Amino acid sequence: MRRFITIWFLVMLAAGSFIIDSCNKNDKSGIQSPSILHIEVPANFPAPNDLFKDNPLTTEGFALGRKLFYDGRLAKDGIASCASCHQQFAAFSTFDHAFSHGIDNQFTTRNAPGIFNMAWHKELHWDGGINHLEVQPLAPLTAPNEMGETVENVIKKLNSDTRYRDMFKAAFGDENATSQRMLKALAQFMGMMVSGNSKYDQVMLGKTTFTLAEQSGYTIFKAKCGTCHKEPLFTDLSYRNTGMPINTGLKDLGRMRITRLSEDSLKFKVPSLRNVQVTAPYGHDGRFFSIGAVIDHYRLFVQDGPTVDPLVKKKISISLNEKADLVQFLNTLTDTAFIKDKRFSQPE
Amino acid sequence: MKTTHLLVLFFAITTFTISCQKEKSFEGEAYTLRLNFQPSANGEPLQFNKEYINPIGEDYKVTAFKFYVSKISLLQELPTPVARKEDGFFLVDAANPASQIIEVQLNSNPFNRLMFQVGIDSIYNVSGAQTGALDPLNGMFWTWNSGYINAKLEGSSSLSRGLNNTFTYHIGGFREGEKTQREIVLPLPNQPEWVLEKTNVTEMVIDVNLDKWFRSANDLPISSISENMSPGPVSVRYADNYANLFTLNTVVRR
Repeated sequence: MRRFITIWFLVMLAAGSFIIDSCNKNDKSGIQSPSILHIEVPANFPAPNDLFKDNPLTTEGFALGRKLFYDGRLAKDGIASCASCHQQFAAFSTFDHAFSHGIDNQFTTRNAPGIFNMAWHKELHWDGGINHLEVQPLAPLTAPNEMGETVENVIKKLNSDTRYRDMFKAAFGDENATSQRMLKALAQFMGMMVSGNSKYDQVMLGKTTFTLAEQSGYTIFKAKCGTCHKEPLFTDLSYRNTGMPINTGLKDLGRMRITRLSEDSLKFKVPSLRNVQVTAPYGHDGRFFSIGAVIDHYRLFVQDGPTVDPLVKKKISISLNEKADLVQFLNTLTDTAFIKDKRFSQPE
Repeated sequence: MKTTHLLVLFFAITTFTISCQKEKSFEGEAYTLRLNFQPSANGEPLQFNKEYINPIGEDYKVTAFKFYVSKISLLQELPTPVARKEDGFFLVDAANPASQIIEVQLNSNPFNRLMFQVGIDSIYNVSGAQTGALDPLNGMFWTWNSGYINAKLEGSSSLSRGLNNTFTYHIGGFREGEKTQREIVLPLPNQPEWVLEKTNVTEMVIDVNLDKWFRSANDLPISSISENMSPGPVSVRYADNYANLFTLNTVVRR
């Protein structure tokens, strides 16, 4: 009798799960389920945001995101891809350009930031106007001076391409390319970009040591730069006015454009200093062409104003020797493995 | 032994019930409610590119008019709904007659008020890429300052100081202090008892009077504001006006 009950119980349980299954899922029979990926969190990093809560990371979703990232057909002119302005060798910023080029030889109005450690950022862009990585690509895709395309057209192009249809099927279960799926795939590709394997990280994990100059630079950094460029992300993700005189041509008010609060006038998001050696030029408008020029700004040229950050208001006292050591230290933040990582390079 | 059987059966049924009923707090069978939004201006059905005069006395022509509808609910006594569509978003577009008719399945309980929200709750503004009516390809999403445009009116007026005499009102904002979602409550005509019916569709014809866009809670002359395309105090003033666009015209059983 006991055995009978056990069998009965199992049958009911099976029936129950079948019912649950039929309520919650579409029939996906005959489709191989995508293989799960995990974001790699460096040992010295805090826990990332739950970026993939509604967007499970998969090999197939990542591969689709990678193809999209490098595809110029997403732009109106068929040439400008995400990767045009976000170049891997420059830690996915634009090498040697204060402003990137959009379609029809137009310039953008801000310096393209690098893309890495996105899973630790809640807000994106220099003014923090974007509140989720998934919706970020809509900005460059539709801006007339960047990729200049409509979301509708992009989706049309993707749906008329059999290679893409196969990839959407592999990643999401059917061939239908929607903006949501495109954006989730791009978020998977960009969200997986983690840079946490620089010499600095190796030193922190006790695997190697700084040179004397680097060590001295690190001490100066912690004392004079580390509050805003907070370890281990090398940004505290806040918005600050660093006393850079306003560019009268652009009249870019930064964070105030989003919050409309006068106290946020001329504040911009603190950029991460990881990979800083390869992301020149610097500043929201790319006005500094070398790390030395940025340090000199804080040493000598900070212009005071109502919203200038108290930490830099009176300039920062850094001697020329300290400046040299500081640069040595900042160069240890270059993550060569990341900027050469084949997973993030142009596919095929 | 019999008790064990019953327990197992009870467990199975409970599992089934929980997994299949999403709106379990509402009782009754679900039947069809149809909302039929009919945009109007100067007391006649809205036509694009036709000249109207707003209550401030300004001439205007419309080239685009869209708004989001969500949280369609039926109420008996405020504020608790007796039936609600929790997850439906609908984009009503004056250029697309099919979009003006919304059908939802709701639990049938006695009700005497219709409620819906114009606009999208904040959670859907901050949770990444959405689809369906919320797909950004509908042109109702600010790409540079993440968030939905809850309502959009575009057109022209001889009094507009905008480019080529156009006006552009993109109204949105979901953060505290700049919310533009507006709850609309429309009482039904007195009758012993309204319920949704199994055999008939209950259709509520709702007049959407554009005159009130310009003058109701606030006076918003085209001559002083020709464009607004961001969240903030101006958007809030327009939202206070679009909360007054809606009146229940008739309820018909089809």
